[in-house]
Amino acid sequence: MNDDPKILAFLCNWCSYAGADLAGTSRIQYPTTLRVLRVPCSARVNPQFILKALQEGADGVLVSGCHPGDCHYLEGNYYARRKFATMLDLLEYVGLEKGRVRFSWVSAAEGGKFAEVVKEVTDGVKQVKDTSQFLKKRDWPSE
Amino acid sequence: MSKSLTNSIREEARKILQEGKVDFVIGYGQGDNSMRTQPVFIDKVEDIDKLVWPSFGLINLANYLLRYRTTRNTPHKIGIVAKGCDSRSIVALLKENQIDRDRLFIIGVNCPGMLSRQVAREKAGEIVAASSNGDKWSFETTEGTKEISCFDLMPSNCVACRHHAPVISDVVVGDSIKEPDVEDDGYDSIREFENKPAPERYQYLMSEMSACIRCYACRQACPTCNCDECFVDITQPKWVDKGLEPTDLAIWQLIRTYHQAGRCVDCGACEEACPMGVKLLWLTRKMNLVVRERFGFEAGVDPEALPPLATYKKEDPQEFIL
Repeated sequence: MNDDPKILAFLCNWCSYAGADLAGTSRIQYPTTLRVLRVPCSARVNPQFILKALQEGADGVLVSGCHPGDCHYLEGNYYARRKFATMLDLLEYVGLEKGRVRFSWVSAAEGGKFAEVVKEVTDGVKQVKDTSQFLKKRDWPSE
Repeated sequence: MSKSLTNSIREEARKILQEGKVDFVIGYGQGDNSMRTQPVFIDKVEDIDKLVWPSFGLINLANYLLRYRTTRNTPHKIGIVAKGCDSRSIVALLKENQIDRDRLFIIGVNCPGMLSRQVAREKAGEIVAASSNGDKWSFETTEGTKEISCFDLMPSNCVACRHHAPVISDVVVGDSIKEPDVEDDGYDSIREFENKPAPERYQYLMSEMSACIRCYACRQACPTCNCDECFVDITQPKWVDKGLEPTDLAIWQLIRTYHQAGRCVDCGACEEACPMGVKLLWLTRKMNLVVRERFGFEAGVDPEALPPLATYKKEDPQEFIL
């Protein structure tokens, strides 16, 4: 159990980031576990980012983009969906605990859904027994 | 070494060299012992006897086409000996516009399957000398002589092979081989591994990869690992640290596998090239299975189909997305 997880969130500029903003301006309460990284599109998220985040100490990773059909770049999230599906299958195959890497579609109008997603992802990461998977072992103290 | 296949390959190679259809032929040659195979580039008819059909020939000759890739503007016309998986690699390279079809002459071989030095080493131990008699190989090891049948020396990917015949070719040699029953799709070992508990699978990944010495022989042996600069060599940004830290080793191989999604033809050259005997096919074959089940795609089989990660369908499954 991990009561105060750190979750790295890649939010697309056009939908999910605006959705997070709406959740804030609407004063919707959600867990403070997220560290948000704004990206132009969910397709910008190279699957290597996800592994790098886990290696550098993230307990969980969330990637969020526009709903299919709503992509600002028309088809970015369709490509992203294929990339994430293959990567997630591979990671679960090599024994990554379920719930550490999550994906969601959140539009700019879905402040409520954004809060729900954060709650669910946070609960999922709290259930993870071993967050040391893929955590880089350094022989010096981390800053 | 199959005499009849060797002879027919030499015959075809001689023909195209004499007719001037190609400048040279890339084929298999005998290495420095009976279990070694090396690529040979034959540009003179006198050298034709250097071409062989090997027993331990788990190298992918399509790899050597990359020296003549389109962007390098080489003028050569190339003949190449291609077994089933090599021809699929050629298709994969054509699809990515790495090579020109009209400069290629493909001598396709109906491949009965190769033998693996890795498997021989696993089953026999430290091998000092080896000789074949018919369908058996006898190995002199440090612990005495051992005899192993050819079938038991085949690597897992050859046992599970469904593409013995070349996918594209200008001429085919060898008797056609009956493809095995389609009911058994050859991925049973992958499904068996999937059913183990997650921590055990992670443990297995870490223990396999701990042997890795980062020599990148797997990458060099692979025709689809052909980036000008590999992500592992890039220092700005530094994706993977240098050194032998366990998660770096695991991530290096995971990303290499991921980059093979929809491109790996399961030739087994990477695993055979590994000097540390790291099992790599259990990763790449899983990637192949994922691509097949999710997108119905098999690498290098259909020259027209787009690579799975370079296209999409609106109705792709998204059960994993919140």
